[in-house]
Amino acid sequence: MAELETGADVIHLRRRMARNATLKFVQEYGIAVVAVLAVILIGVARENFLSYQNISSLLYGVSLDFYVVVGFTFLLIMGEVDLSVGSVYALSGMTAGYLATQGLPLWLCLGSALAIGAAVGAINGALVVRLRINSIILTIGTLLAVRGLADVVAAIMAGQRYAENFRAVPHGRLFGISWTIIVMFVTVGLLEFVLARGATVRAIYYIGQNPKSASIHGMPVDRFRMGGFVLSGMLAAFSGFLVAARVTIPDVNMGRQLEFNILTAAVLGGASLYGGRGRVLNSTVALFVLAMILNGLIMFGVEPALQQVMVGAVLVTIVVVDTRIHRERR
Amino acid sequence: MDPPVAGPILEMQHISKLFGPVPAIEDIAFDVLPGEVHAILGENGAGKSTLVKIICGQFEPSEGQLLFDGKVVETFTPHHARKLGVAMVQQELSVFDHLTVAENLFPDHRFARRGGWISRRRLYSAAAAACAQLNFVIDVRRPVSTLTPGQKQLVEILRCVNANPRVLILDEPTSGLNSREGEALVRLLKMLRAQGVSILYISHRIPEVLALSDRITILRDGRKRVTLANRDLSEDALVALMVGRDLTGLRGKFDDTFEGAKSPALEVKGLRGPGQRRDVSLSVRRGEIVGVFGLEGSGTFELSEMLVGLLPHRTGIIEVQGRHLSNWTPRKLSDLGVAFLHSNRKEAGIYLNLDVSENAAAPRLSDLTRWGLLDRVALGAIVKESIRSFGIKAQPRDQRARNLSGGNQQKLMLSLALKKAPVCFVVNEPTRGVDVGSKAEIHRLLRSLASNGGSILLFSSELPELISLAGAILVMRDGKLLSRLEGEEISEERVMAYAAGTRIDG
Repeated sequence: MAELETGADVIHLRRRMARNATLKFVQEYGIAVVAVLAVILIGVARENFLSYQNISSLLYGVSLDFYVVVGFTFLLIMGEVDLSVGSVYALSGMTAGYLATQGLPLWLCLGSALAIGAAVGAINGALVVRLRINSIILTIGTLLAVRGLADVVAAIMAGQRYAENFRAVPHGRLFGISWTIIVMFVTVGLLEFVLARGATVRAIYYIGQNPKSASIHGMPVDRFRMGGFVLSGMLAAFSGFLVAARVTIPDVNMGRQLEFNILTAAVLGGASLYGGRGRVLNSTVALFVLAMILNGLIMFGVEPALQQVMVGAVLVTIVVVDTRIHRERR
Repeated sequence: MDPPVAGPILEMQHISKLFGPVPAIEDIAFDVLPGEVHAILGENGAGKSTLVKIICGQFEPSEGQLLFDGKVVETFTPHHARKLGVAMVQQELSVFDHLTVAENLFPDHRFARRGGWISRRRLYSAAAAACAQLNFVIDVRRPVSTLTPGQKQLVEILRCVNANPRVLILDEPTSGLNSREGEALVRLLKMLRAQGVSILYISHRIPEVLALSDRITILRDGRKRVTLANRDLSEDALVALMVGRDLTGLRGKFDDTFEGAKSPALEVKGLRGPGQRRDVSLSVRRGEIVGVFGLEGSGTFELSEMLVGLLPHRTGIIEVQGRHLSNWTPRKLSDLGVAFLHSNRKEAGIYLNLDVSENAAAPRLSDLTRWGLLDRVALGAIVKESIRSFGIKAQPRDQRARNLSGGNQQKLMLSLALKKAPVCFVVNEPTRGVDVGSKAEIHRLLRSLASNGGSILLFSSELPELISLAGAILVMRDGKLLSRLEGEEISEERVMAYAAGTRIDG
């Protein structure tokens, strides 16, 4: 822009750059800012909130659930959605618990849980890839079907507790911290690095932006999509395995509406419903923020029904913002 | 000031439009008379679209005045412009796919209301009458989604005409039309002109502009160069005015002294897609440019997509570099040295929201791997090299592909397709929506690829482009390759005759 002459032009240009910079900042760090603000706000009002006890129990909860949001984020980047995760989480978790209670070794129970997740994911993926079905509608179908199966397992085990060795799984500690939290930090760090720099995995961003170009440029689009759904199913199953063990008894409400919280978290973390955008770290932090907000609401004694209203409001707000950003870029 | 009837219907006085600090157009003054066809010519980025968007109320000018019937226009909204009698045929189609032709032609059901109800009978008869004006033979009860792109374009044009505009603006109206549809459109425009409607006509196709318009205004770099009465103008003179340099040297005749053996580089045998009745076979030799021409709906687009594995095929084999394939994907072909340039740059070429270097990485993700990670140093070097050798005007890091001009986007897309010199290059509409300068550069690039021993299969709907580049032209009609014209046999009339079906031998 060598031809800029008047001061007014320079101001114009500065404004536009500032605007772009703001937008970029909101996209990259918006979630961190919200997190800090939420902590301060709730922390000032309720002193228990910032206690070591409370924060570590929130972190612990997130460290069991975050696998779901990881898979979800992968799919969102590719422009796909898997709403069946909550049901898969329930079915695989309860099935694993049931098998453990029948005396099967733990590794086999985990294997079965993952197999269930992979199978549902493969069905979702195959239908989306082969028949080009819209994944939102398709996975609402699998959500319902798999939920039915989960209810069957819950009914079979009604009134029983899971076997003791199964219940103990999520409780191990390393260096005085729950192992699941450590694994979460390591996993998120690793995935963050791989997604940013890994040559092969970067393809998902291209696929999400423009699948046809990606396939012309030699990326195996369908294989990635298929893989994304299988991975999403398996990760949901792994979370379900851990959470079932933590809950100790089969619960028909396990994972109900989980998909909506996960969707909210992923989009809050900057993943776009329009594909091409999203980060594992941001989604996980957003899941934590969401947990904090819910926890804060409980501390303020807000009715559970109203909590639901809040989560809904958060989702609507973010989707509006996401859509505006998307338009800005069009 | 003149009385409104005799004077211009539309007048621009010193109009400028800035986007931020960047002027899209500057100090434009021109007028449109009642009942004239006024063409606007200019390279991409010359400011044509900005200018017409001001007229149809989508943009407010930053400076200057727009006069309509001698009165200054104060409000700039599409609604107000429509009330003044300005109608614009959009470059991008805005038809309602799931409604019928008739419903598309009369979205307000103007002729068909009875109380609050729609009379289908009257709607259909009004629509049929409108189509008859254009000699446009179509069942107006058909949903628009079943039409060809050319037919959709005609529906769009008819809809604007139905609004009885006083000024009709057409932005590249013939780009999706075949020759018969194009002629029908020209007839319609002449009829409208006779009725006193003013027509503002934007096109890249200079012969068409010369044939149709009364006056021609040429824009370059956001400024008006000149307004000329259409008398004794030559194509070359207009091109020179648009580009500001003489292009005759670049449009030289085809040079067929290739180096290297003329052995087949790509052979296609018995290719047939699902639901098609006919096989297609063709071959391209090394150092050869083979053109494929067909009118809208003749199957050339499907053929090009099937050939590179974007559309599924049912039968057929491809032979590249001595390998026979009966099943292929874009990836497999690209590994064998077949590159592909799609006709749709935005959906199947580049990534508009990513910057230039991220775009450059797309086709090379697996080549640029070092211990599983993207090698950014190597990528940087590649980006620099592509920008230089393809003449892309862009900042690699900061510039999103969407902010590049059409010509630069197209060059970026070419640089992605040609990550290495291909054995065979399948090219579909290499210069669609590209300014004259970039077009010449792209043509030169294709020629030099061929003269270095590459082979090129060129799909294009622009006959002059095909004729100036290709050594042989295959003509396609109804999904069938009819004939192969070579050397002296090639002429515009001949190719057209085969394509339109007025000649059926061969």
